[in-house]
Amino acid sequence: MKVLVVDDNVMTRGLITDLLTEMGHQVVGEAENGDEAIRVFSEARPELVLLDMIMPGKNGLQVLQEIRAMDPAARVVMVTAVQQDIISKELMEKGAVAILHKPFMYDELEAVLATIKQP
Amino acid sequence: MNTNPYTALENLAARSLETCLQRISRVSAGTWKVLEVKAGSGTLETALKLHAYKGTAAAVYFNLKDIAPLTAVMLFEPADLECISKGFTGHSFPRSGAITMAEEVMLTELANIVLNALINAPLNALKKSFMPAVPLFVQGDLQRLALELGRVTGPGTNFKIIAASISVQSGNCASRTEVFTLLPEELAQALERIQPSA
Repeated sequence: MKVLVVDDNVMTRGLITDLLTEMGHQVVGEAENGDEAIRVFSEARPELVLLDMIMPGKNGLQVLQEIRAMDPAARVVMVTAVQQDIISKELMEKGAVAILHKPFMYDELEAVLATIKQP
Repeated sequence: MNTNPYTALENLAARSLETCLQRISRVSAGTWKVLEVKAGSGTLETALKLHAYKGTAAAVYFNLKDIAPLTAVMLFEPADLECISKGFTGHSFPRSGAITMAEEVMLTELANIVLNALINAPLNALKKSFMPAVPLFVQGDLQRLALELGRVTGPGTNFKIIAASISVQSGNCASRTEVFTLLPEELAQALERIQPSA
């Protein structure tokens, strides 16, 4: 799958990119904030976005909504340490396909990706 | 008979932190444990004194948007960064004395995970949600940290404090960090009301 990785923390971005590459996926772009994520999404049209929640500028919820407005079929997995029930519910209502809570294990990422079918 | 008025707050925080640290232990190279959770009243300065300063400390903190002033802070001993890094990422960064950008990035992500665990539990218990701000890093002695964080919390303000000591062990090295959250009085009272027997 072609994946866009969005996280303001360079260490986490690198870790996720390494894991995805190891699993055989292609990371077509990385972004460290919401505006960059939206720009890269519109250019690279990834099949999946792994999206952080807390970033400078636009937060993950806002970016999720903008990406889904641009492409209602866009598949976005939220990757976050925020485990507040109300926010999790809102993310799913706004179109996230899954939420991966930090810190996540290799198997958890693999399981989430396995549930997302190729287009 | 338990006369501790903060048992509910302490139990709530302990459960959430233990779950979080078990997950960190599974994905990292270290063994992370909650040593102690204590709740009480006090100011920012009271909470910052939980750390045994050997000069400066490193702190990562954030507050919650739309609710003021709920702040969460994680304190690290700079001399232990090699051990903390080894326990979290599996390797140590080359140390030259000063905290490097790579170490700052590592501490910020670690604190982001642990501090969210500390605040998720009370907010979920209250059926409330607030978006955390981006975690910030600061290094300094007690006075510098009090000044910096005091801009967020307000100087001299009294809070309910939930504080925890956390240990990390990786190979032959061991370290200890402190985390705390400053809860506004009204949130703390609401928590005590809904969890009278926890």
